[in-house]
Amino acid sequence: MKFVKDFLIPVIVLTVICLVVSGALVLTYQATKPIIDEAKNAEANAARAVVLPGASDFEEVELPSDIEGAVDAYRETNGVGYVVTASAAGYGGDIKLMVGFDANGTITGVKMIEHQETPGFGAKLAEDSYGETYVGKTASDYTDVDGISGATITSKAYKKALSSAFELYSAASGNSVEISEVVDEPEEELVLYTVDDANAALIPGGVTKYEQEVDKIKEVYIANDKSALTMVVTAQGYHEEPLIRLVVGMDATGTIIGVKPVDFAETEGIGDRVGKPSYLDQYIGQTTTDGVEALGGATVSSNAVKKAIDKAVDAFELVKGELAA
Amino acid sequence: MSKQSNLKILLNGIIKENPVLVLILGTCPTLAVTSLAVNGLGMGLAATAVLLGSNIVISLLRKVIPDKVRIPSYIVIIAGFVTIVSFLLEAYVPSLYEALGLYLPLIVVNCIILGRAEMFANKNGVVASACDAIGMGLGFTLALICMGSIRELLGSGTWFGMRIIPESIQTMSIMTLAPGGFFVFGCLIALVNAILMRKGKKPKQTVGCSGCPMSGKCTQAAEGGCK
Repeated sequence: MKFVKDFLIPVIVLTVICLVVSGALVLTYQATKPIIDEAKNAEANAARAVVLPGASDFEEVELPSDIEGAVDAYRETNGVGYVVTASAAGYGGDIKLMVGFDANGTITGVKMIEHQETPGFGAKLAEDSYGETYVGKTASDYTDVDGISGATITSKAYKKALSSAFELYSAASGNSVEISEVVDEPEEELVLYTVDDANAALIPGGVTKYEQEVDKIKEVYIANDKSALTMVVTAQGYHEEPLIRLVVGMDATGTIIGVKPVDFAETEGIGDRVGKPSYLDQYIGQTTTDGVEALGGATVSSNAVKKAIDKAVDAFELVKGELAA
Repeated sequence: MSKQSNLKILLNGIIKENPVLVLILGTCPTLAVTSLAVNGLGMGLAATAVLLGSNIVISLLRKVIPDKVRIPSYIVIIAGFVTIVSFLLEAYVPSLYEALGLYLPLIVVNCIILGRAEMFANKNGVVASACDAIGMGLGFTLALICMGSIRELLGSGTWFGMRIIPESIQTMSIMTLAPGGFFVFGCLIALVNAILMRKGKKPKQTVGCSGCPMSGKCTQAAEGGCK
């Protein structure tokens, strides 16, 4: 009896309770499943209709398995077009794009539905305003849309996912399309110079070191033909140490002929973009630093460069007498 | 306890033994979902439905369930009700289902529900248990709506989605975040304590062992607490 009371009855009661509760769950699940499925389907259709205006209902299309980055493809039942989802490897993980095509294969909308890109950089491509720039593009001219500066890797992944999306469209619709290749733009590199190399690059005719310090600038080099000069200037960048060091070259009128980085240990991919020719060369032809805007996302480094060049511009007034006008 | 009138049991839960503000139970969902008043209302009603169901069933089965397996039995029953409620919400109020998110399944471990099962439903009849569930549920819901209203009004300038504070006035977005939840929670507890004290009913000074759902069974309780 003790065995029954202490052991058997609790087990039986608990088992019965579990069975009854499971039964109730099954009933509720069966009753609510069609409603939940319908709601989910309507939600998914509404989400797809965002990239394919005018669409109402969709049916899934079976896909060949050899398309890279394929996720799914849907055909609008009234023949308005297709909505496909494709993924590609971005900077922080896979990005997933939902792309709408009209019946002729022209993009009607792009939406990034999944990403883990860096906020402020790669994540900018997830904004709807970027997706809108692709509306009206076809397989042949989608590569013409510019990426976003500072988000090279994400921009490339975006185009790669679009290229897969075009393949999906082509497979789903049976219209074969010529998809233009995503060309890898060579990544611009940060090239550091020694002071001598920078001088040689800026003033090919050779330079002589000026024997005095000018306005606290220790290194000033005058061209041998006295047509130009260079100055080595510093400023504190994003990090306290080391300082940013630049060689600024100026001609006899005070116009900047070039800026070359000597020390430039700014954050890779962010601040160090300021040290690359595409940014520094904007100073060529300027007599002040006012005309060059800071690079988005790299304000501190940009301002440091500006400050360093300002020193050279100020110091120029003191040494310009050494140059032949 | 069974001598109390059912109405008194019902009213008990709203102020005197308000589960959130006096018993300090169910703090996690209280802080988490009350960034909007409507979420507080939804969470409160969902928990009330679960509480009502579980209290009735547990009270019905209180003579059948052996002491040894009562906690697992309660958990199975509560989990069953929570799952049923979440299916129903997903089917009929999907927006609320989305908003409550993770906190909906977590009703299973909401102390209020297991606490009322232990403290009340397994010692009282069906009607009294149902009244207790409604009272506690309403107390929980009202506390959540209060917190949600204050946080939504100060944090987003709206109340149940209606704009009350003009958009030109900067809202305190901290109120919609976790710290704001703690601020409002503390202020409300203080307010309820003040009301109870003015009425001459001293609020419980400590939760202590007597407030613990296990106190009846716990051998340490008589010796002055857990060691």
